[in-house]
Amino acid sequence: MNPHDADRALVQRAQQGDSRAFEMLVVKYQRRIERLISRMVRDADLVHDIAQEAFIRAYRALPQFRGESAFYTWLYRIAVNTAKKALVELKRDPVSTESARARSGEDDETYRPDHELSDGETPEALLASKEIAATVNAAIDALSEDLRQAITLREIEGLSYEEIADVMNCPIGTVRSRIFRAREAIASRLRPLLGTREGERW
Amino acid sequence: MSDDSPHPPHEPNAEPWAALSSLADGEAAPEVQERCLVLWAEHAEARERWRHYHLIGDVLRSRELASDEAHDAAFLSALRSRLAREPALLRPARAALVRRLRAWTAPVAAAAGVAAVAGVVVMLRATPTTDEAALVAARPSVQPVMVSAPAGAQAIQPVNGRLIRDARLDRYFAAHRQSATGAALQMPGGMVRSVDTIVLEDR
Repeated sequence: MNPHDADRALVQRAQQGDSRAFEMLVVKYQRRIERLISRMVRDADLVHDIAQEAFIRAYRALPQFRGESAFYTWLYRIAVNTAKKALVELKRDPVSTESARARSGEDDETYRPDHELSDGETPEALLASKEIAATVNAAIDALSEDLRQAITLREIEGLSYEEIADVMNCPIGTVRSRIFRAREAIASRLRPLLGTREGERW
Repeated sequence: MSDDSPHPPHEPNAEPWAALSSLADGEAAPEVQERCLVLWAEHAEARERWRHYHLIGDVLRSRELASDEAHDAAFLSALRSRLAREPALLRPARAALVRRLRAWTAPVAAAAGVAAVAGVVVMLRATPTTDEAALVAARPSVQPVMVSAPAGAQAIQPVNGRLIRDARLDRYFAAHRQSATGAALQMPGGMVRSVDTIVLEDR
């Protein structure tokens, strides 16, 4: 497997049947996969269904994944193919196409104002996600320079700990610690924001 | 770092979350990975942190990716239900398994203590589990395997291709007729040249 794939350990364990590892990968990539699919499909329920299907297909195909590409690249391709297949099916089946079109607002007679948010988000959900984004960015700005640099190099530039240690001229253990502390600082700001919405679901 | 975050039992400091953080970056040693998987399974706080760490990364790269907890939790919950209905993954290294199965053939055949009945088939198991789910799991991508009767078995004539009928196998084949390819199942008195054996994987 590609030695630089950050998912390598979890993927190998998932391939050995560890469902916890697979679930951790799902949580990691679910948002990105849903966003990818929502660029191809407008109906929010359909996006959810296709995303579910994509992860199931990935699960079934895990034994064949050899790590020639990064896991996410492979997952991404599966998601695109799953969405394409779904779109073809929709075109073929007039009944489901009809309801999908109605939901997405293409049929003028059934167009409703709340479908202006074409990905199906309610205003509340949209506001919530804006708030989350704003909180994360404010929290990043509030970090010390070292913590901000470490987490930025990791999450935006995609550098390994070793590479970050080089750039920041510090031991790898310090990199690990800075990234962790940066995450904790940001997460502590997110927690009250997210905690007020729902009871514990995890 | 937040001073008021509670720690899971047996952990005096925040070290387990640091382990999760390093696993998120693919920088955790194997024993740390294992600990993280246990944390994931046993502590809601671990699952929340894993989600938060990745949400933070997603949002840093694109504000669009911020999404609410309820939505994400519902997604995972629905997927779990579907995953529970999936057959277990078959692991690679089929060759090693086949070697092990051949070693099993002798004791199984001898212990059966059945006089040779021509034209029957042995179903060998790699694990002692007996649930139907394991049988179904074997079906999707199983390859037929050549298994010959053990030379040393005493209760059975060591004729090439003669094997023992397994009642579970009969039920299985009755339920999954399309899997019962090959001539092995019904050739009374005949020499069986090859046999399809269902290979069950370890979990």
